[in-house]
Amino acid sequence: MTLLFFDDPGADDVLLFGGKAASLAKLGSAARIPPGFSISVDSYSSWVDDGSDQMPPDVSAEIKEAYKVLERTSAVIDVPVAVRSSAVDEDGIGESFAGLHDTFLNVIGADPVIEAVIKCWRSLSNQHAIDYRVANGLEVESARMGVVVQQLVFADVSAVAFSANPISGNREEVVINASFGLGEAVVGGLVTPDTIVIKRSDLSRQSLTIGAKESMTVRTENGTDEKPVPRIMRGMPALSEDQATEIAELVVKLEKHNGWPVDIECAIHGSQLYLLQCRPITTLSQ
Amino acid sequence: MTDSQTAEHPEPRPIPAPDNFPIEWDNPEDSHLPLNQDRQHAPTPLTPLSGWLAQHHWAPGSSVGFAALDQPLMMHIRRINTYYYLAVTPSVPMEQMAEAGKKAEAGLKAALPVFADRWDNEWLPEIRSCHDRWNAFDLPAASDSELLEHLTWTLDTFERFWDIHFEVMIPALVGPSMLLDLYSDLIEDAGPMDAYKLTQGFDNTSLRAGEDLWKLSQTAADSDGVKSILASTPTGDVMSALEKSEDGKKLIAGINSYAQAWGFRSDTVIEIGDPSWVEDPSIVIDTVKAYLRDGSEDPRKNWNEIVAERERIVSETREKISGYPEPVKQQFNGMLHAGQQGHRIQEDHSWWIDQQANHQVRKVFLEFGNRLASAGVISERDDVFMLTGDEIIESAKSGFTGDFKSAASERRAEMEKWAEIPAAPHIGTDYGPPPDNPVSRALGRFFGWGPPRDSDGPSDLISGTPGSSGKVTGTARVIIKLSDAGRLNKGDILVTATTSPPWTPLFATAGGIVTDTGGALSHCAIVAREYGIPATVGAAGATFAIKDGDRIEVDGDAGTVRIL
Repeated sequence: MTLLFFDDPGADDVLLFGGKAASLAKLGSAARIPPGFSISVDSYSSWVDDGSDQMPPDVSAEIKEAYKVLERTSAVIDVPVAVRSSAVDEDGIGESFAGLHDTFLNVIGADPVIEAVIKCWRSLSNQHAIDYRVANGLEVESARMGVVVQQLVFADVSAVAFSANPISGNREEVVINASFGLGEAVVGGLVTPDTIVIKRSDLSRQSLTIGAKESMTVRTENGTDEKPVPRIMRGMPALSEDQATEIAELVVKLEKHNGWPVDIECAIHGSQLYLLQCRPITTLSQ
Repeated sequence: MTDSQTAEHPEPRPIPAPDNFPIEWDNPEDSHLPLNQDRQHAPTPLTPLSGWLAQHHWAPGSSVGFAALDQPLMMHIRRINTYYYLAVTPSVPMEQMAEAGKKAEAGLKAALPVFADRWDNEWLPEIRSCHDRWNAFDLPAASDSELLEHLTWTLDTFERFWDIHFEVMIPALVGPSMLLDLYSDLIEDAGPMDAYKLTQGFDNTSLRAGEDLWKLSQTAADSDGVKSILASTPTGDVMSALEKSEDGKKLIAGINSYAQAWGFRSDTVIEIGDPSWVEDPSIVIDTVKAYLRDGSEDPRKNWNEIVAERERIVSETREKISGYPEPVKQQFNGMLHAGQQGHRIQEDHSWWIDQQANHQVRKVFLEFGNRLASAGVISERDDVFMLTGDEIIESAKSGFTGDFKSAASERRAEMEKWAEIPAAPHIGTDYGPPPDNPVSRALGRFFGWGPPRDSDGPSDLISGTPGSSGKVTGTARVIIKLSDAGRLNKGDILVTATTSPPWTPLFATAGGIVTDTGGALSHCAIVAREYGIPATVGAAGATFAIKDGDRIEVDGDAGTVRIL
């Protein structure tokens, strides 16, 4: 099987699509996620077996077809997508591969998507990823990779949220980090985001610390770029109180849904909150 | 106290007065104020009455305006050695400043989107109705007690105007200033004057007053007889010479109707001792003469290009930030609106408040001058400006008694004495640089405050602030009083202390502008951009360093002037 859309039965198979893809497929029932599809580890294997730099023609034909479907479901011609690596052993409970493999944002058109998928496949063998696997006692030779192709939400504000305080371990506190623009700057630790602490039991706000929000990830013609946040906006909270509450409700709900404390990435575009990723909190002491 | 705290709040330091500018404080407390000479609004010695009016009615009204916006600031005006000084101080103790600063930020944020609407729909109608009341009041017919009552209302209204003035002008200055900050953060390769193009090409009263004056000159251009009278007759005799022909009478009617429409103005916006153009149309006549002499061009000739250039740079900016988060685009749109409206209102408020209210107060005091002079309290009507308001009121209340004849001539002599001595720019107490916040940045850009400029450069190069784009070479005309402006020929560079809005019709004649004072958001710079002529503003000392008749080059993008 080459690929499945997130809402297709079987798309939540970790062994077939990798951790990230499988968790996205499971999220669809719990929250609004941007539409997309996952390319299976079989496609990866056929590329490896082929020994060519090119994508096997049957795989690329299916990706092209799927991209057209995505244009229809999103109702956007030339729909911009994020292309993300989804290794089989990543995002499993206990390990977090955050950022080790490649991700490509604002990819537009079927051919650029195919190129980005090949680059993701190659990143399975980048040195950081190999070192990480070795250090964590994971298989290096047998590692396999799925790839997620998902409509890119042009986030006005991006946030990372935890259903428990990841630093103190306090299970009564929801912690949200938020900053302007696409999520890369927040997730990649490029900025000091705003930090909001919310009491889990009644969703009351415990504290708001305005971060310096030095930069923001913006869209360019065919990718993204880091730009300084204008000085007059650095002192403004990125999230409204209502938006922060909505995010807190979502993480509490996801923790209940999954049965473990969660760490999510989400994006706000217009009035809509999108869930982009949901993982267990890997740093919490048991 | 840690080092960083010391750096934020350095010890207050008394500013030593220059030897030729010794200061005797009327009230010793005043020596604690951080007073700056405001050359932009009053470069020359101020009459006692103007000083009294500014200190006791303008400044308190201004402080009310600050408070209405939750700005923790107070305005102080003092007339020191006849010069006009201004200080802005915190209105709350230092330990409450952090809390007050938050409130101030919220107050500004709330004001920025609405100040232009409030000006159009709330404040301007209120101001107009007050002018109607002033204009309808028959001054000569009023009894002494009616006149005193009218003066009380006049001073209250003047104070209210200054309250409105700052309630509208703080956001009207902060809006453009924040737009500049935002633009330079968003557009990395921006040219120094690009951001100002975002706000150009909006009509305002300064431009309309200039345009109407040029149109008046064109009615004269149609008649050779009128043209030759204007070319050969001294300004003071022009009106009587024009009486002799039909075409001349038509121009007189035109001059009178221009004076009625736009004549409630004089040289500067603080001094009420200068006649307004409706009383003495010499400046109108001089400007018409200059327009005809040199075949000046329609001041609006570049208007379409100025508007098109604005639209081009607005859409270029929108294009550049099209991939930015929506909140950033919303900030840009909000600040663009505030900046554009702020520029319009900066000129319009000056016409409706600064210029016309001064004229109205002047008219009322002139009536007091008539009565004081007939009662022998002063020698002539205009000596009224040598008295303080308190002295005038006290005399009027006791049936116009007392004797101020020698006091008036002593005070006039004092003004003449100080006119020869340059005022110390800063006196009182130095509290270090103002805190960096949107309001102080905006005020800095208006007044042209900033770090001291490099004085080690070549002496033929004077540095100021970029005011209006372009480079031009011409003959310098150093003109300090508007009544002297008849000497300005087409293409000359106007070198002056300051240009308040009444000066801007000269921009149709001048090839470029250099001022001693003011910043890129001053009236002068705004209107120079609308006329499309190069301007360097805030070039401290330019009027001293540049000699009348020098060939000079103005570089409005670099903010420099070179003496060739």
